[in-house]
Amino acid sequence: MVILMVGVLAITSSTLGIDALRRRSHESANANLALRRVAETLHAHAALARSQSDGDAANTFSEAFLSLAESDFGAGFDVPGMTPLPGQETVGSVELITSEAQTDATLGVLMGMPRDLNGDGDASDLDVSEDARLIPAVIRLAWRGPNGDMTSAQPVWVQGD
Amino acid sequence: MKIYKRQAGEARCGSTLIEVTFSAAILSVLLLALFGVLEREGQLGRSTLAIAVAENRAIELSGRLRRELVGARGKRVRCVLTQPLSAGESGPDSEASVSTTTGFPPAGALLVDSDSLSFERIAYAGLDAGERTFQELARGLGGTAPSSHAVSPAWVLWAGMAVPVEGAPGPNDGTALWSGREIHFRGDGIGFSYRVPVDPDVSVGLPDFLDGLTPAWGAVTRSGPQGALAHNTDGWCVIVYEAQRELTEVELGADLNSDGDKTDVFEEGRLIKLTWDTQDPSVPVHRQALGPACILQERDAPAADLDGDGYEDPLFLWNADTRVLNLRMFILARGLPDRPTTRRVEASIFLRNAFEEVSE
Repeated sequence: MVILMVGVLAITSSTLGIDALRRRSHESANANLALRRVAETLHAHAALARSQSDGDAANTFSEAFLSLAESDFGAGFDVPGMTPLPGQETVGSVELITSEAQTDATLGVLMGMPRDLNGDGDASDLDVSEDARLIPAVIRLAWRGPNGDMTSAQPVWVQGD
Repeated sequence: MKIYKRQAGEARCGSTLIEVTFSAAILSVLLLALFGVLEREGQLGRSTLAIAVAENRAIELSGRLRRELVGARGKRVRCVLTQPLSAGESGPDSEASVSTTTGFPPAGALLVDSDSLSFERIAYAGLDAGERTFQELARGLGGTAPSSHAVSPAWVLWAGMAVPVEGAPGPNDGTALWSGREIHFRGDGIGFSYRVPVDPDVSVGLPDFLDGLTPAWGAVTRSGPQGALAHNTDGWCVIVYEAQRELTEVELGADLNSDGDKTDVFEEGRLIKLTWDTQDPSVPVHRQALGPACILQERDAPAADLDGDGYEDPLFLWNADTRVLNLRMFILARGLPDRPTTRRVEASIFLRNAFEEVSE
């Protein structure tokens, strides 16, 4: 009887372990799909911004893109099936980088920063929101799941004309 | 034979028949319970794995679609009638004359006058080589009635594609919820029509997908010798849902779409890619399955609400202006016999190349 009970407990433990792994896999896949979805939307915004930009200093690619991206993701975004961390209103956020001085270390992702974003030959401008030709963004997710608090981030580059 | 007699004050040895029977009964019950638990554990394990496998299949499929479509060029698959279409025009010799059939698959369904009361769903079974005629019509499908249609600027749409409707939705339009926004759309949303860069001179030198300075658009069709696959600038592609088997909520014993009943009928199917030659109907249509048959759709109700949120769920929803193709798949996982589970997988694909604005 004792042997049987030990066997049942072992199988139960394995099943629970498999279920935990499945949930983790499900969350990870869900997070990856959400990150890709937002990245694709940012690329679509960049294409729209390129078409809206008329080369005039008052209507640049970067202004048009930042306006579109801010209106869509400025307040963050939700991911169905994921719960925000306590104190957070949304699971996802998009950080649009308009300072050439940002580094990979401060951003927490490997994306080759600092870098010349406005094509003026240096990587020291602190605000290129009006003349950037290359805009980096970091899409972040933070959620509370059955396996604890999780985070995920994906860097994205969008290109102007 | 010696009969043992217990003396007063001596401890009792052995067990009575009642005690043995009682112990055996308890042991049997425990063993049965253990076997039950083991069986249930096995079912849970299989269910867990089945759900994970179904999700992985859907994610693999979305990745495959992304690779297929990221460099593709979509098209608004629409045209206008160039000759009036009478209500009786039906059967093997019937045809409908339109401005173009470019981008329409070799067989499919049309939405005619879709924003009016004379809305009709018409099936066709062939296209002419001149890309001006739908042939072998079947009228009044999907609950619509055969009616006459005059020449007008109203678009004739490929029913398989779902496209957003600007302004107020019509009586035959649906409403989907994407990223928290309501999107009114027209069409079934079970397919997408596109072309990809091709290399017509594939046998000469290194791959070259350019025609001058612009990409050469087309598809890989069966236009080679003896029907071999070949790059073809007259080729076209669609990805479309194909039902494989029927499922009923009665059989499954579950309310799959959370609509409060268990009477709905569904189909489990797969996505297939069709390529054909738009200029030469004699070239066989090439069919290629893009994944396993695990995608759920309600029978005879494409784009129906599958998660009970009150909004329609088209499989594909393409916005030509933003060039974003939204994909929403519902996958059925059956691990526990009494508890089928559906999983929703969503993906968005930004088509890097602008849509085709010609041939409408």
